[in-house]
Amino acid sequence: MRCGVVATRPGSRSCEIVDRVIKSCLASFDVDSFFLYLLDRKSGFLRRRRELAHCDGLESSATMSADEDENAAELKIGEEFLKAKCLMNCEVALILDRRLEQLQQMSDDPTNQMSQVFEKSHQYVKRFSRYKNQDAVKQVREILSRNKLAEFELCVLGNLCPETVEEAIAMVPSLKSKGRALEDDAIEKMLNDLSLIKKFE
Amino acid sequence: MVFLEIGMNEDIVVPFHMLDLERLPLPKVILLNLLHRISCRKASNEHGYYIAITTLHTISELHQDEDTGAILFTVSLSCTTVKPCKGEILIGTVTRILEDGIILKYGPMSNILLSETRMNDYELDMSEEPMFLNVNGLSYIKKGTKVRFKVLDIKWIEREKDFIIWATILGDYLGPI
Repeated sequence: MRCGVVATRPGSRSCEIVDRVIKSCLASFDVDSFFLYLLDRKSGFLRRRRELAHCDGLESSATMSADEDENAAELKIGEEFLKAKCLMNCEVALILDRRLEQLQQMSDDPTNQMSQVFEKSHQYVKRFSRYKNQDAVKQVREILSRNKLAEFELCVLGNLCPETVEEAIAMVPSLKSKGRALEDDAIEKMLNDLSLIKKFE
Repeated sequence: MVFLEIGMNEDIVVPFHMLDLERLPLPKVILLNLLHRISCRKASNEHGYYIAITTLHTISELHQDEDTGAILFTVSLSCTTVKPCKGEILIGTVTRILEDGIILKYGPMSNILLSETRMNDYELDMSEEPMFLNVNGLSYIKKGTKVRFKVLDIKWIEREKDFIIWATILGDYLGPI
């Protein structure tokens, strides 16, 4: 199989063919095939780029994730999550706001120094942060830290802000893992404190 | 994906012609060089997507390349990154509705595939606007909808410096919000 870039017009024959191949990829989770979709907003065409990894591994650009047993639900996470400090969306929003201010001071054209990754991440955290105020963000971390949670668990709870104990356990099943089961009362108090911060922010 | 603050070392090469101290202070040259390197790198399998440098810790003594005259520094810094993790619960936004599934985006990631087989009780409805409609009619998923999903599998694509995520909404408290 050769690699190619297929530019298609919606409704065209080549569009139908690519759609059929995409269907099988989505349905089968074929690890040797994947599709990347690039929407060319300027031209309005959907450009689909197909790369097929050879079964014998030749020029394979797809690699399995480093740890086959990785599972955040059981807190089996990679070393990078254990070594690094984990940050909540609201904390990252403050960091990126500050970073943007610094870029504006340093450079005449700050957008020149901003990568697409920065822009998209900034948009995401601004939209999905539950807490905007710096003091509120600090309080959220303090409350979550009181309950002997792993950094990863703390951030997931701070990002998703579950409203009930059942929801919190569904989002972070490791809260009830063997040997460190958090009491329901403690989880409920934690969630109530978080919602109070949101209420009075 | 949880955001991480990681420590790393970077080797910076400053071309000799950029060392005009009257026009641009040296630390600024180093920082701009660093910013450019990080923005070009985009992502790695080890650290995920590189978002922003947060702190410059130390800059080593300079060394000069005898052949080119360029100045070399080793910089120790902290950087904010984001990396997906299997089993994690995330909130993404729908960017495209296909016959057999949905494509979502999350922050810098735009290749999150949610197959129809991983969406219980949702059927494609192309009548007015393409969407997946719950069989009980109480909820729908269309372009722009926020969806809470679980990360099923992750692939790192070295050539694109990008991740692909397979997602599922089979589970409690998952689905459109």
